[in-house]
Amino acid sequence: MNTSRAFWILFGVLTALAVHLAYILFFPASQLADQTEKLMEEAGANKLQIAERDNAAMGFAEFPGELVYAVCAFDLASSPLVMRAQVPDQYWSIDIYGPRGETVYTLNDQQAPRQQLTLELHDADPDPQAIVNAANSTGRNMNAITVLTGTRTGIVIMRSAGAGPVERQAAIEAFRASACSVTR
Amino acid sequence: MNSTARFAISLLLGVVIGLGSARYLAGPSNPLIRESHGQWFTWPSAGHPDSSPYSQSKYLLAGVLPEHFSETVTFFRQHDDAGGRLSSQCNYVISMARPAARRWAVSLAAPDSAPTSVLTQNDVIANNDRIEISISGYPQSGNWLGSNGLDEPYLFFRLYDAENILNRGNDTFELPAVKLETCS
Repeated sequence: MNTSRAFWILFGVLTALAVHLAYILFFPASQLADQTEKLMEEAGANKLQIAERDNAAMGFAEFPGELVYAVCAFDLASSPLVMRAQVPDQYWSIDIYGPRGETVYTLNDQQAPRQQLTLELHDADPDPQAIVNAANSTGRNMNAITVLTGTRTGIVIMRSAGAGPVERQAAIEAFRASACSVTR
Repeated sequence: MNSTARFAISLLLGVVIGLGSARYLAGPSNPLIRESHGQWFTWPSAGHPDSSPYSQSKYLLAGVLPEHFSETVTFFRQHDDAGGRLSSQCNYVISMARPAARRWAVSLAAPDSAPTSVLTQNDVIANNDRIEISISGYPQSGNWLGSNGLDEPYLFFRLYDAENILNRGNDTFELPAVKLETCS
């Protein structure tokens, strides 16, 4: 094999490797970013939207015939996020995801068997006073849970059983009474 | 062949191979991230904080975020027990022991779509802790999962409270059998 041929084979292999890595590492995350942006345009940042036919939140629903979904895209740039969750007396879960789709936090009905709870989402903050404040606020309310997300932006997804009409209605009513908001 | 032609061919091959391999490995057929149990498959790393970029990509490219691995485990298949591709032209019988899960669901979905036909533990009649479900394009007596209009569908079997179930070991865990009955 002459040097020129080896060079072009190596060039092709390196190109394939670069394209492969670029696709795997960046394209899926950019898809999620586009989807999050669409949700923010439609529902607003730090607002909870129940997944319904053709809305942006429905895009996040993997099993919409089986579960009811409510989605909140958050941005903690200006202040922490407070999520007041009203949850039905059936299966539910709350998952917090980072901007690359990584799970940051999860909670379900068996871990927190109560009808309402408050999640306070703080970005990882090096200021010790912020952590003390968060801990104090948790102490004030036994139903408040402080989550240090380690990321400024992300997605919160509430899921609840929704295969039958009764549980679907219970989930929708609970999610309608839930809200995401910033503290200032 | 001059250098420009070699450059173009190497670049083109590199892009095609890089993109093709990335799309394959980020897809449902990736043997590196899926685990097989007979004709059933699952992605054990789905919703895991340490999941690989390939596992993450599979979900993000589909526009969904997986539930945390401790919440649910999803099994899927596209073939009956004899290896034939599932078809809406045929009738099948799903046979299984009542799953020892707090919730479970079987559903059918067209490729790249959310399931449209769902049965949960609340919808089925069991006979001595054995459950039989008919898959057919036409209504059937007993437990029926409609496949009408779903060409080469995926069958999903989802278990909630997955961590507890899977930690009990495989000897106490039975995945449903799917037997071909008749074809029109």
